[in-house]
Amino acid sequence: MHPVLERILPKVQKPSRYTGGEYGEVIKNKNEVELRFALCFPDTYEIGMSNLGVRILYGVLNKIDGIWCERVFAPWGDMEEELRRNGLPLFALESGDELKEFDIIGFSLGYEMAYTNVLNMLELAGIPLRASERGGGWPLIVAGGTCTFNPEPLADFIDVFLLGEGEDLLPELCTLARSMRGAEKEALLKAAAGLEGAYVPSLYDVEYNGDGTVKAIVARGGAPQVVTKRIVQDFENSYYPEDTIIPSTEIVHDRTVLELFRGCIRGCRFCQAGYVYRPVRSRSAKRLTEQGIEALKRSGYQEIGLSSLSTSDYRELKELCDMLLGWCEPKSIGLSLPSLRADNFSMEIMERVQKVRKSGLTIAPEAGSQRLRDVINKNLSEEEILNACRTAFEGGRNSMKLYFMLGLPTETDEDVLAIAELAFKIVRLWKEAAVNRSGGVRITLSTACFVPKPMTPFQWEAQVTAEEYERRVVLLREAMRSKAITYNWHDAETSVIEGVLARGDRRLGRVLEEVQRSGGRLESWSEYFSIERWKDAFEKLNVDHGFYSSRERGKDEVLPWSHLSAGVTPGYLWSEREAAMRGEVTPDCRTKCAGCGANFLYKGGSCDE
Amino acid sequence: MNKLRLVFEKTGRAKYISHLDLMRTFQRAFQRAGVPIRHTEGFNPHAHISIALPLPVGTESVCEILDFESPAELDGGIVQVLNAALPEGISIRELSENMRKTGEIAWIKCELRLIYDGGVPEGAAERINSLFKSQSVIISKKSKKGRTDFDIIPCIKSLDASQNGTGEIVISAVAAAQNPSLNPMLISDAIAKYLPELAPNHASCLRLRLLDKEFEPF
Ligand code: SF4
Repeated sequence: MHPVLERILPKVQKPSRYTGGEYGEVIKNKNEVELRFALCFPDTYEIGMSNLGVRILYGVLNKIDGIWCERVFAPWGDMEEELRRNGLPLFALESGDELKEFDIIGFSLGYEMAYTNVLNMLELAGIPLRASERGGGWPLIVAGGTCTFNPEPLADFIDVFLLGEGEDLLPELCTLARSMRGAEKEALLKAAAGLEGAYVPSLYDVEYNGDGTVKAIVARGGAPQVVTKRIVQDFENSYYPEDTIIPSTEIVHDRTVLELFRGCIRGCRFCQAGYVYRPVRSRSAKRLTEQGIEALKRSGYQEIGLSSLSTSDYRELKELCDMLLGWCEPKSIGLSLPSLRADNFSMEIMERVQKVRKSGLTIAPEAGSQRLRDVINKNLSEEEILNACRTAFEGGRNSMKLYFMLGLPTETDEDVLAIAELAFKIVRLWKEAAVNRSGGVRITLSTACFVPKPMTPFQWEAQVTAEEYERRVVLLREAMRSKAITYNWHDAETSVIEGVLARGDRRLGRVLEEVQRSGGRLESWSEYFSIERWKDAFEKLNVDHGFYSSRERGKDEVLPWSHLSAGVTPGYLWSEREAAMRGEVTPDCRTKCAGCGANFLYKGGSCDE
Repeated sequence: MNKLRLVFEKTGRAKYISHLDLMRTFQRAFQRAGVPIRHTEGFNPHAHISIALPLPVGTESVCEILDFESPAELDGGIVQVLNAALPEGISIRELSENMRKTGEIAWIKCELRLIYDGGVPEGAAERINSLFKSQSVIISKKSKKGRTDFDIIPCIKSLDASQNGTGEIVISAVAAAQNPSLNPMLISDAIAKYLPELAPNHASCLRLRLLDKEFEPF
């Protein structure tokens, strides 16, 4: 261990997250590997190590001879201070070597609020932030993850964005970098742009109109005019990390996690993941059971969780649960389900899996009125919601969590009040159905501010302002009629910034730089987020944030991400937007294909089979 | 159920693993290694283990004790199996025959290293030795009720500081293990308080051996 690190660690909280050395970490001889990859997660160790994608890519890269992939996480504030004070650059956990020594640095971008952390981590590593300031001697900086469907605010800093699933694309990029060792950076970038799914932002010129909107995005140097994401074609047989790192300190999701399928059949119009991960590709229950058992044996975990966008839609869910329970129950290993849809079938499975635990149930109606649920294509009726509650109450549960969004397109005050109405109906239902009334019922209701995301039918919509969101919060709060209901609302300030970055363009790079320079980092943590810092940066750089968040875009506007594609056609997104405005629902992919276009990515199969 | 005892060390990077995390790490290691172990009853059953005298975070040790119960007849072969399932720096030394109650552990022999970046100040070892011959050495200690004064002299059976090379003082000490225990790192704090010019730039600590109240090896 670095002698300076030895002196720092006794002074910081939870030092073991900075040491590496966990069971299952991969150590290679750095003199024998040809390419060193630093997998950076722009948040804390506890969050990053809970991310299945990070574990998959770590495994995929380390399986390759000649490549050593190590991990890097964002330090907590106290650690960052010590690193800076002692002049110790950010390092990778496995070798303890600083990031400058790596060939490729790859960031995982899951949420916009991590952007300033990307810059901060580069700065902590002593690496110039702007791609144009990094010549051939510097590591190649790449990034993947959900945010790459509009990564424009980071375009000035990242050399290559990898769109879609990285299992195939990332190794291809590494192979390319190995074969072009010593080549000019320019040449490497041009070659990288030839990989399907790789987006090299410096090879695209963006022109603007007088009103600030984008006029055109033009590809140069042979780069494709549209970059389309990659998907794993054979998900059944694709890599799953049965052997993985078992952290020596507690992380957020400290358990084995199985990935049932990728994509989602539902098409909720607000949900970015539901569109950008299409089409649905599943793994068989048999394979999943094998993977789960193997992973449990090798990890020693006492809990296994199922993960996917809408787990209830997994065709073999019952079989999978039965097979897993058959192995887990005798060993006292717990099976935990994510929140399921509130339909009867799912409730039945919940009951059988959680026989012992009568913990709360979570339902996400997202909107209070049927009209608005139709607008967002959340195919969940009030009857289904109430039935689910009834089953839960009759089964002995006395608590319920409900999630809603405020600020959805077309939302009126009536829709807002319908949330309170629905919650109250649930309280009344409990009085009727509860088996044990002594402890009362607890309904926890949360709202978040809706943030329109790129590549969804709502990508053209205006986001409500923070003031408007807060007005609706007050409206809702005052309409609550029962002490059994606790109402928590997320603050709107983070949502405004999230909205600006989500649909921002390259000109926001300067804002990110300014915010980072004035201390912005770890901003998904309320203790570090400061709206003032952003406001100051907008003002200083003369940027109107409302232009990005609270402005409705026209059909013909060139969106900053229009040269990128998740496979779903813009025409389809627009038609879904129109359907939303008419309050029409679109059936799920299993009922009827709506022709979104994502099937063209799936050369090896057909959607959801 | 068979009662068993392991002696293990916790060194290097692993010294930063907290006691609670160490318990979890062992519970999982037992599962991975497939060593049968009694589980706790109840809501969230897990492997039942107990580790005597929790080691402060940052302190290394070569003499930690872990007790567990197993429905199986186990022999020394489990040492290797468990070691293969443990993270770097945590390593089982032996399956111990000694089943004395851990309550009989009264003293711990340990070694403290004080590092001086600018070289050890003149006469440091002598001055440290004479400080700990005083009637009392009071330091303020964090407790549940805020900070309280604590005399560490009754908790130190013996202490010997000597210079090692140009930049290091090594203190070999026998400190109280329990009721009350003394975290040997407080010896370094006491030096910094009473002899500020001898405050080290860095200090580290290693537990070497457990002793009973007769100062015999436990
Ligand atoms: S092509 Fe049809 S079935 Fe496939 S994801 Fe799109 S809408 Fe669903």
